[in-house]
Amino acid sequence: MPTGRDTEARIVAKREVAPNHFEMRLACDAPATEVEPGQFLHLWLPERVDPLLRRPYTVYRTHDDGFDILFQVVGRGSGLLAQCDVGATVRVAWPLGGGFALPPDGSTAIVVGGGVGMASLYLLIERLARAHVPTQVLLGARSRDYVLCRSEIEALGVPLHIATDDGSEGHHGFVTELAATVLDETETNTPHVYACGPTPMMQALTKVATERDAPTQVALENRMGCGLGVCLGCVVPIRADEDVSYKRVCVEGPVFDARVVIWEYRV
Amino acid sequence: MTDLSVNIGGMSLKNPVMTASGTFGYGSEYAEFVDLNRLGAVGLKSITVEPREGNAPPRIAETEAGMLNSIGLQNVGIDAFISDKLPYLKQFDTRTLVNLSGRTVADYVELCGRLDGTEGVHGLELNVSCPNVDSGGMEFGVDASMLGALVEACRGATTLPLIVKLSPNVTSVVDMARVCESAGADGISLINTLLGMAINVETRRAELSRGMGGLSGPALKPVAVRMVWQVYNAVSLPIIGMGGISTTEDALEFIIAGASAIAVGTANFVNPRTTMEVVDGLESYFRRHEIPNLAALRGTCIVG
Ligand SMILES: Cc1cc2nc3c(=O)[nH]c(=O)nc-3n(C[C@H](O)[C@H](O)[C@H](O)COP(=O)(O)OP(=O)(O)OC[C@H]3O[C@@H](n4cnc5c(N)ncnc54)[C@H](O)[C@@H]3O)c2cc1C
Ligand SMILES: Cc1cc2nc3c(=O)[nH]c(=O)nc-3n(C[C@H](O)[C@H](O)[C@H](O)COP(=O)(O)O)c2cc1C
Ligand code: FES
Repeated sequence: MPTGRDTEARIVAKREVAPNHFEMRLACDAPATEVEPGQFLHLWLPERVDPLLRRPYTVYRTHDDGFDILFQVVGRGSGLLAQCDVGATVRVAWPLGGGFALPPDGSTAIVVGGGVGMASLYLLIERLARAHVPTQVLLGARSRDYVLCRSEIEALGVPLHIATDDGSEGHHGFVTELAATVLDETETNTPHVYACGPTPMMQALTKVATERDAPTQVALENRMGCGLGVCLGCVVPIRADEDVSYKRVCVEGPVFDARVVIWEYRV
Repeated sequence: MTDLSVNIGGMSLKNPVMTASGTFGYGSEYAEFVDLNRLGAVGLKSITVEPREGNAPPRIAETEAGMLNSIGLQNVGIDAFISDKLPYLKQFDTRTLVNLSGRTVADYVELCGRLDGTEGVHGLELNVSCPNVDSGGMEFGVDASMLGALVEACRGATTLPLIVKLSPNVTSVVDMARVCESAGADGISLINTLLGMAINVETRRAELSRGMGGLSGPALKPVAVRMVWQVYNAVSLPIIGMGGISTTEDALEFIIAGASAIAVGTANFVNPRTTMEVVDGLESYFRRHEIPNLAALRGTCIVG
């Protein structure tokens, strides 16, 4: 696994796309077009010792001179990032981790995103569309104001189904319920399922998909220390035959086969 | 011409900049960012006799200017270390300090014996200070008579430079250092992480699966500098200083307090080039102040 490079990146655009959700364009010295969907970068606001650690963000979209990220303000790191002005520089180590695998020829795909999890899925949707894989996107959001990437997905011509917690748009309820319906309605061969979102959502979706024998890949978002595979801080228990072993989300992930992820390790 | 070379209990380093155990993998992970040939030595993750899976997640949490970790000594074990990890490091012109951890004196003695005479191993560091497993050696690090017996037994099992990495979780780190000196250690590493804890007030759940973990990073630095200074003034063994070093100034502080070498830990996670920046920074500091060598700066702290 090649480690990424660590480059300076300049913030060239910033836009609040939903309440507390920002899209930020970063320019650096290398094209990001080779980035695999699901790969991430580790971002540092230079010279800061508090908050101390870098923050991981998925490469949301790529450009010839850099990439976009799409993030939600949830704490101090993301709050400081959102306050950075256009023109400011940050450091990014990228690309890190391994991405989603596209399905074999002749398959269809269902992409399921919860909230800002869409940030980790957009590039995948773009690649699926480019590969002419028949794809449907299911998106769960708090309310219609929090539906991310709507116009981008529509521009790709990929059908988008929405579920909202408050019923302000689409299905009133969980996106996993929508996923069950769509999977049950699919008459052709079983679709490949891709997901990113809050852990309970991915756990529920894994159940829905595996009950229907749908191969499923999930992108995990564990806390990270180094992002380079050395601190062993980001691990997740993974089932291998009879055994369980800890795998590093930053190197062996962040994308995993959902069937081997052990979700219940808290108990 | 500045001479940054230093000898740590028989291990000669081209400069005093090392990496701290558990924060640099086995070297290859940082090859993209760091010229390993320019490091004084590479400190490696704790090795145990058998492979260890480590603790359940969450294993890390960020705190003010620091982080807590409870990794639990996850490692590949001595056999895989020698066959799979060590060969990579042999291609570089640097030193390797292999960190050992065990449950019993016999574990440590076995590890010392296995590595004695192994090509590519230049020194051993006994981790008697891991706070993150029930039997990770910390009981050795907090009990003077157990520590003395352990160091003596290891001394008998290896001719390699033997460094003891002390725990800060003791009443008197000086007493522990004195015990190591009389038991035949060649040097002291100071400090391992300080036991800490963080709680999420919304869920009332401890941030780490085991509740407690080890504090590292800038928040730890003043405690570490103090301990280096105390030990420097009490024993004559060379000291490898660490705890929150992120800049040249941090490294200098440790040297002035009495450290012969310094190790960069958590800062590697944040800025992978930290060690290189510190090597460059030390060179220019010594030139600027016309200090001929490390010994001329070491332990020159003025108090009062
Ligand atoms: C591989 C990967 C890719 C990611 N991609 C994106 C992305 O594209 N867009 C996006 O908005 N977020 C993404 N995240 C999550 C993002 O890294 C966290 O939201 C961010 O680190 C929080 O930092 P903070 O300082 O704002 O919050 P903190 O102050 O550190 O924490 C605030 C709250 O957020 C929680 N939190 C902290 N770290 C994480 C984490 N890694 N995941 C989930 N919750 C966390 C804390 O437990 C706490 O409750 C990704 C995470 C990973 C591991
Ligand atoms: C994630 C992590 C893992 C560590 N693992 C070990 C270890 O296996 N053995 C050991 O002796 N010290 C270990 N340490 C302690 C460091 O080597 C060092 O003593 C400590 O972190 C203080 O230095 P720092 O503040 O520069 O990180 C670890 C530290 C961290 C942060
Ligand atoms: S974040 Fe350090 S090993 Fe994954």
